[in-house]
Amino acid sequence: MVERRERQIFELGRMGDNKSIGKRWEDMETDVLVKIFKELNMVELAPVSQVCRLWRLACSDPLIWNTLDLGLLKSNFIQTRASPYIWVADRSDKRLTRVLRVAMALSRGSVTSMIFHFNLYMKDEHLSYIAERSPHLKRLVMPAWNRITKNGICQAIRRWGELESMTMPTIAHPPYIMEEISRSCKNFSELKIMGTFDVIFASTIAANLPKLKVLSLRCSRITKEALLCLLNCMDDLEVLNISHCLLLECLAPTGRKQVIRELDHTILEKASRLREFWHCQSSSCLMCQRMIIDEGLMRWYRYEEWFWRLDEVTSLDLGDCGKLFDVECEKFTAS
Amino acid sequence: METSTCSKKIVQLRSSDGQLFEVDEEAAMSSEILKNMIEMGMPSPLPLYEVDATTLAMIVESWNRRLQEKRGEITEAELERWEEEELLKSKEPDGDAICVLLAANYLEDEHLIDRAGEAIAHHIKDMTVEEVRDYFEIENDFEREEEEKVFQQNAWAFH
Repeated sequence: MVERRERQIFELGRMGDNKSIGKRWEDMETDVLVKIFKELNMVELAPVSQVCRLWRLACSDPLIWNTLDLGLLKSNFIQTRASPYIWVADRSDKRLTRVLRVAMALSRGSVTSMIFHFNLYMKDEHLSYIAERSPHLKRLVMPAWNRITKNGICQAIRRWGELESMTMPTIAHPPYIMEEISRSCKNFSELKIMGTFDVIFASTIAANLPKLKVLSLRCSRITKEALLCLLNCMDDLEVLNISHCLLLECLAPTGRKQVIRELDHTILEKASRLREFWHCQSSSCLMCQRMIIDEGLMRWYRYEEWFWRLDEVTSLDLGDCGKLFDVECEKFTAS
Repeated sequence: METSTCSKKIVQLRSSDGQLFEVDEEAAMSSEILKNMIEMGMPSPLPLYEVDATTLAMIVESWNRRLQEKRGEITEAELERWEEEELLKSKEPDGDAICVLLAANYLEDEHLIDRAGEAIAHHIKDMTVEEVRDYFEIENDFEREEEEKVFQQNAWAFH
């Protein structure tokens, strides 16, 4: 072993100017360094970024940072009776700030996709912090808007001119956000809504985002009226996912709502022009059953950790959480 | 050129320091670069300007073992163990793991790049900044102010 090592050093020496391991590192191109650093989480990357300039550059490579998946980070919260229906411990907010600070410092603007958990309740200040430091964001997955103001989200959207895809919760008055997206995000093409979806929401989208290509309402409560509005008005729509949605129809004259179990001929015909139409309204499907038990408002916290991350539409499916913020990171930052 | 499924095709490789190696063509296809050269019909010996003989010997052995695993002659677990312990010395990675990574990157062998990257990452993740610099003999080329700034950004977050 010693002999071999000596021979190796001799070889390296012969190759040029007495190169030890150190010199070889310094000659290493950033793309090789990135192959090592992509295995590390953000806590581990922090000291690595302090070694020297080249390493610092490699630590902010897009290969490492293009998706910042904070899906393991949750707020420490309780539900309340009054708006915003959530109270978050101050320590929890501070923890989020710390994590975002490190991520933004290390990534240096390379983040193009950001994913947050449905129990991560951030404030305007967090949102503006990340908006300022990730100007090239293309995708945002943020299922909880309880503590964000209209102004806060609009300001953020304004900074994200390259935004193409967003996953958001149902909100009471959608027009303001759809208008802002229409104004600021010229390449916006993909939307996922989690919650309920009525005809007002549908017509707002049709009016403000006529060029929308992909829409997923998976596991939401939607009305037939809303569905027809989408199918009638959105000519550029290519992909629609209503899998496991609780599809409701208003019955005249009582106004009582009935669950639709099978899509009728009209719907199927209109949907046939879509490139992809995902639907499943079956009483034998586990996911549909969960929707019924939860009365149309899926209580994600009851189910598997990964369940909320799924989507039949490939571009919307989130897969696993990646390496940047893993279980170790979660434990480390919690203390 | 006629190929038969029974015959084992051999390619000759030449390391940067002039040594010749004979490898199963199928094994050599682990490298995208070699795959292209072979498919283009480049004449033997195929020159590898950035891989020295010592490293090439290790790489060729790793390809042979992968081929053995593919053929069922050794198990996946045995392959992994060899890669971790013999090839990359994961417990105490030294110049070998780095040489393998550089060569694998040059040769475009994705599997080996991932393995070597993981091994080195695993080793450095528990080190302090100073320890990393000492171990890899890297000079700190930050200006004092810069270094302070980077340190603050990280320290504030975690301590």
